[in-house]
Amino acid sequence: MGHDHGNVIPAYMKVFFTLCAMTLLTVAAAKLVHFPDVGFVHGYVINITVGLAIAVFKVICVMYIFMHLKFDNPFLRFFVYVPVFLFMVLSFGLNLEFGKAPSNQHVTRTVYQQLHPGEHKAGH
Amino acid sequence: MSAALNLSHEPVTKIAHGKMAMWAFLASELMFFTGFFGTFIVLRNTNYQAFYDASHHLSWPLALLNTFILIGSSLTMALAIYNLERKNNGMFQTYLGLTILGAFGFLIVKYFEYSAKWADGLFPGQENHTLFYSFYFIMTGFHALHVIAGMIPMAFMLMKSYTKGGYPYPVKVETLGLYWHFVDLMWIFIFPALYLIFP
Repeated sequence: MGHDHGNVIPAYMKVFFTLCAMTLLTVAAAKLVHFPDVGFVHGYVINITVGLAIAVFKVICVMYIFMHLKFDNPFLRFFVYVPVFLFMVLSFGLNLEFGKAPSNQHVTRTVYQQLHPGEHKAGH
Repeated sequence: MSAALNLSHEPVTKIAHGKMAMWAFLASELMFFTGFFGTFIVLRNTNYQAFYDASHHLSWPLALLNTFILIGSSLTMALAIYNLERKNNGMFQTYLGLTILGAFGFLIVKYFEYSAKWADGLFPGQENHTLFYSFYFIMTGFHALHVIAGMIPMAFMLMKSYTKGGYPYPVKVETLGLYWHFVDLMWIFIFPALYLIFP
């Protein structure tokens, strides 16, 4: 293609080591840390949020540096922004239903713990 | 580039057609994986205990190893493109070869993971954990298919680079690189979603 982005190797190496460190951080956040409940937000929700936030940060690093979104024509960013928006809407928008629990086979963790007080099989 | 109309690039944005097409394809690929993630999140939250129990049979250290392998192969892919654009054919071959090696390594680790699940009777259609392992095999299976699909053009480019004049199309390697980084991106989400977020 020939358009030159200058010497990008230091940026590549920085992204590589950031990704490695963030991967270890994800594992640590999921396996070692149990966040306490904050108000009505359960601790495990914070665990998940932290894990996904780190994943999003890693993805941004890869897209902007490895996939050259930072250097290329900004027009290409629309191919990212639009599907990412739809991805968020479709995956998380479907997820707002909580609490209706017809049976043990169909419960959220919160409801499971209400139905089985004292049982801590589900984490912590 | 000459001033004449060049049909290899989109005339207004000056983006190579192949690259633009690859981004559009990746956008549709993201929508494809969105189906998996969306249903996974909903069914996970409505079958929490079942998913929680099933996920504890997964080996997250193997998945962690695979994460590092994929991140490494993403780096070597980026370096391969960098070197081909600067006509360093030898370095291009080294880095592309390392990328293919990484892809192989990923699949080998996956093989051990899959065969362990198979030996334990953890696969769709079995009595236990069938819902979770349907997701596990479909999501990681499609991801592994993407890895295999990426290896084929890479092997072709590597072979071609040993002919006289080396591999002549940096923009094609760059386009394949976009795809390869996308495969890495999907793994970055699959890894915590399946292996980690049941603390």
